[in-house]
Amino acid sequence: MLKPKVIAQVLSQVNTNGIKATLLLNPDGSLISFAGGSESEAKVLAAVASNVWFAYERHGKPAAAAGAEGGEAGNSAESLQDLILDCEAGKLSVSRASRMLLCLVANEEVEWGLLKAKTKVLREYLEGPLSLVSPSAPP
Amino acid sequence: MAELDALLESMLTRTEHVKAIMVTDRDGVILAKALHKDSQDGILEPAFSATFAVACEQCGKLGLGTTNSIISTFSSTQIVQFSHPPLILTLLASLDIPPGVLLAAGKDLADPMKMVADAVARSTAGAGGPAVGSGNAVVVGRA
Repeated sequence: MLKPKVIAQVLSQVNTNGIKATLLLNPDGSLISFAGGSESEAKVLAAVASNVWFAYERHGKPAAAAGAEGGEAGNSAESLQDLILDCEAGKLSVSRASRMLLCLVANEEVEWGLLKAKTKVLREYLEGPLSLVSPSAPP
Repeated sequence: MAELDALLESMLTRTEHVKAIMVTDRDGVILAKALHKDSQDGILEPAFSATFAVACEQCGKLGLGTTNSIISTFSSTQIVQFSHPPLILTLLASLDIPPGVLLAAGKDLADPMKMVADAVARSTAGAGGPAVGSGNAVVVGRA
């Protein structure tokens, strides 16, 4: 059973030092829980993050597979691990946690290494409990 | 364009574990490229550059301003894309290299990329239509 209140508390723990919002969303872009910012902003963010993630997963796989050692274009073993978008007024980090997506929004002063590290720590923390709720392997 | 090809080639040989460096337009049409000798043709996936353009457009809706770069990490490959409107610079490397090195390499190429991007933008505006990939000459000046 997912407890949204507890998830929001966990997500809010990374909202420090320039991280403005943290979201947990379904692969279809629907919001599960969020911490930081308004609900309407979170919904737009979730939709965009999911859209960009799946576009990269679909179109990046052949290029990444061809670039892998001994790889072959279309190799399904190659999957997207994380995505960081560096924009003029902020940074966006998207990663997969079990079957769900985890999204962190930071301001432009946050170094992408720190953003990546925070995303990784939160993903590893959430992956275990979330895999009990949706145990299927990522597509 | 031969100068840009040579520049990308020298960057490729200088930076270890980099598999490919490409300059494309927003539709994925390749202007210049440098490929590692072991790389396969699939590495030049045109849809991927178009995906970057779409992602940049989507990010505009979030109020985060224009997108400068996107770092995507796959199981054994990382791809860094830089926006130099109307062009896109793509660096593809294995996970053996820290992504910071790729970001630095992209910054090293920022000045020549700006020159080419400006030339392409001028050429496109002058022709009144799409010039990239249509056989129009693009003159790259020296700084």
